[in-house]
Amino acid sequence: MANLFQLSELNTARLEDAFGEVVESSGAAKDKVERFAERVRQDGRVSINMRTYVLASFVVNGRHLNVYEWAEHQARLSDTDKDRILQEKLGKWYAKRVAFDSFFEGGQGFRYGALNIGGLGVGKFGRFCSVLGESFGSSGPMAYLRGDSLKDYVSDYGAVDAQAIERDVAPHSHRAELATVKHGADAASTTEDEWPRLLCSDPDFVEAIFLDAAGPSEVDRVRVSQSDYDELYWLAFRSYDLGLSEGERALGADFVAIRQAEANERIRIEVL
Amino acid sequence: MLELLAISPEDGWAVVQSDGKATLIRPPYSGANRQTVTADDVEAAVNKHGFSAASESFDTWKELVDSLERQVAQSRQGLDRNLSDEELGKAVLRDAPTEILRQFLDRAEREWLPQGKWSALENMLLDILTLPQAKDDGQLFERAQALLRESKARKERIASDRRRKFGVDAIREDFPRLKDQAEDVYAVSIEIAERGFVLASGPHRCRP
Repeated sequence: MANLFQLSELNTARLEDAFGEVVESSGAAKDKVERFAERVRQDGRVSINMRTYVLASFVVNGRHLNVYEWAEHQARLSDTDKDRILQEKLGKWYAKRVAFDSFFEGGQGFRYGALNIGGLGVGKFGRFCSVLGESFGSSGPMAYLRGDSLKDYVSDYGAVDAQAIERDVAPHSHRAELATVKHGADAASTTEDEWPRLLCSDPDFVEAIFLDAAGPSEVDRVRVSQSDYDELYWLAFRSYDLGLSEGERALGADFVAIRQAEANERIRIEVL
Repeated sequence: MLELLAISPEDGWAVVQSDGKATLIRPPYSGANRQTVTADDVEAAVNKHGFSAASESFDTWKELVDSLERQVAQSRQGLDRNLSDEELGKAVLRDAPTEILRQFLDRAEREWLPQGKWSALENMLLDILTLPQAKDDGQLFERAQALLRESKARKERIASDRRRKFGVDAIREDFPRLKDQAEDVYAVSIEIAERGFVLASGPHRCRP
């Protein structure tokens, strides 16, 4: 069984070579590409995008369960087999999830995020972008893949592309090299303001895989767009007039839990 | 036909397949909160974002949304952070920035005041007037007070117009006589009920 984090450490020389090639081939844009790498080295953090409900549960319960922990919790509550719960939850996507995670030692403990240097992250399924603190990446096992682990490295039939993983995986110390190998050419042709979106937005990102469960105290800040934040406030306005549906009321209650956590200084919200 | 592909029952997010296209929807279920997604997105929703795979069909969007609403209510029963509408309004306002409160006042004045939504308007204003951040902002506080006065004045003016228009004042003056008549009718109805048939015999008791 492979160890993803060991693989990442074994790949540093190859990443450095590839990084050097990208920089050298940038011609007149060489300085800019190096600035991009330096930006990732300085500001590169792991972010996890969360829906309002997920962030509220995270701040209330103090942790974010991965799918195996969730299934285990459900199994205890219902006295049902954990794997059966997992199969029901993941449906036809079960095979890919389990194929990737069981390919690696300790894979069922993996947690997923994205490499982020600013901005709102991969927001389609979560408007709140929780950015973990600077020390988080260096304190425990952490590896980065060039793209989405399940989309780019596992076939629909559950075959894991080990060669591609070995080629692309990077440890925390080499996340800047990986990001530059992937985005160097694009970074040279875009403005520096656009780099956060280039590195991390829908549908493309550098995936971070780690083992330690982050709690609210590990979150440096939670970014959200002004329009998304305002939309949540307007639920209150509507509650006085039309009344809210169950879904709207749930959303509002989750927002209140987040605001309380912010007021109690458990998390810091940054509205962009 | 609408096919539910994935759902997060705790917050009502869902991916729905319709006419060969997958759409991500979330509360409030308005057009703005619908987004076309790819097959990869659906997989990511389930494998990475906590959605559950689903395979349920619905004939209409209303049936689908009703089902999602029911599942939200059911799956949040055990949570201790649920709030009623009234509690929610107060709780959100409690920490709301004054800029947001100002926007609420603008919109309430623009929409609720002309539409005569007195209850919504006055409840919200009374809640705003108790907030420390409103008390600390003299301009905002005075504006909320002025709106409240305006609301009460308009409400009273409209009620007064209606009373005049529909002769409520006249009815009020005649109330003792009408009350007697009502009591007589009630007594007859009791008698009919006791006898078990409608065509009660005997004198008509109502006074002319």
